[in-house]
Amino acid sequence: MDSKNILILLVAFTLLVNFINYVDRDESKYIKKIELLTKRVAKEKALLGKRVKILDINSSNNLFFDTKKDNNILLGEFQKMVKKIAKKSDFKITNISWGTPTLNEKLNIFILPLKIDAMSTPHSFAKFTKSIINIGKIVKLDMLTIRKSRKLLSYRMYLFAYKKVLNEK
Amino acid sequence: MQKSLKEKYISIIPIENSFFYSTVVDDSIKFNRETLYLNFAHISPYLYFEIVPFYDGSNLLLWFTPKIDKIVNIPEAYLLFLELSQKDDNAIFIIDGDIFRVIVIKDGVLKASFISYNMGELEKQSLLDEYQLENIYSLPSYRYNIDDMLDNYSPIHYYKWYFSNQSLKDKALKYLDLSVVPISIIIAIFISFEVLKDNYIEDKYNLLKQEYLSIKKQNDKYRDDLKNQKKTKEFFEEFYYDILIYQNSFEVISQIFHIVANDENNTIKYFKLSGDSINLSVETHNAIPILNQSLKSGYFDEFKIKSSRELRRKKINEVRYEGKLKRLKKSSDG
Repeated sequence: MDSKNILILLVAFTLLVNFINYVDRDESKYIKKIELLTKRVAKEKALLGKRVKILDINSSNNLFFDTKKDNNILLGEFQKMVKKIAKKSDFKITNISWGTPTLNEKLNIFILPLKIDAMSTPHSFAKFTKSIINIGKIVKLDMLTIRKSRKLLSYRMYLFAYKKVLNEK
Repeated sequence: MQKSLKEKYISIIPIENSFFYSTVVDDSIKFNRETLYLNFAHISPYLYFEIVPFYDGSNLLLWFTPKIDKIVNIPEAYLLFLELSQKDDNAIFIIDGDIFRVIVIKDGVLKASFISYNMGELEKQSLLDEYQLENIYSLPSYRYNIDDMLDNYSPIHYYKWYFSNQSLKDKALKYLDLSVVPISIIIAIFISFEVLKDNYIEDKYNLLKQEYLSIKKQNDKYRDDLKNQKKTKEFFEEFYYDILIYQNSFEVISQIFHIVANDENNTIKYFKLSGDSINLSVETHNAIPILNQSLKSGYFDEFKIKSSRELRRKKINEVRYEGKLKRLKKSSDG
């Protein structure tokens, strides 16, 4: 090989060195990406390893009355439900009236009130309240007044059921 | 320099075994071996010979010698010239010995070196005339020992006497030629290593990326569920805190009635629950157990006896209790 070839070789070598410098820069980018990915993978693995049981969100929605139904229809259904339970519990309702549904704007929840007057034994009242608790919906009892009237007790109370407002987006 | 090294690499060309010739050349001219032979071979008195050149400014000093032994060959005449020019740089020097060694220095430049077997006054005068010099010195040979003169000559000048059949350029090219294969191998290894390394890094990146995407996909639904669960939790917390507000009234009523019913002589006369406020009127022989157990139930911030009066006809007390329900609290774990 003559010197001319050697010179060409040296030039080629110089170009190679420059090329390798370029590759090295590219390589350092890859190494940084690999470091970042390794951290992310470790994070994901940790998340995968410590999974906790997720609540069934749909079942939590069942605690409220049907979002799609009108408030008056729901009050009717609520009244029907209460009457049925009262009948089964031998809890004698003398009067039921509907309150005005009110909207809690912060939580987008409608509050559906029923005003109930009744005459009954404490035992029937206990059965009634126990059944109300078990209907599978959130019902709040408030403004309860119990008075003794001869052998029976008279009851006045409000029962509140709840409905989520449909999010129309 | 150690003596053994000198013996190994340095040889002295004796005056009697060489032919000296000097000429003037342009300062910029440096002959390679071929051009040196081309220009001066005809001067050589030998049939087979080597030329040892030395550039002293524009003066080119040439020694023709039939044999060169080592890689550094220094002419004896030059060593004598270095010694003698210190004494007089315009003179003829005759070193007496078995033979006469003649060194001619003119204007500080070595002009001639040769031997003579006969050096009478006539020969001396003839030399002075020939070289147009005025001084001639006869010196004893013992004062000019070769080894001593070599010791006085700094080794850093030895390279000037380096002998090679090839020019420096040829030698450089030869070494370059020799280095082509190793360099090529190194370059090939280097490139291969770089390519392999690059591929390895790229493969690792791609594998990691796939692993990340796969595991992320597995987690995405869980992550969404977690987000929704958090929202639901926040919603319920707000719901309990803003709407239900107080402890579950069904449980509270059940608990109070249970407490009252612990004593079969107790009779509830009146009960009112409104918001956080509870009013209870009970006919009882002992008011304290109801008070204590209600406080222990954990439902109340406050529970107290408001009034108590004795019903003489029934021989029992009518006790009125008043309580404040606790508010529901938001959990702190988020």
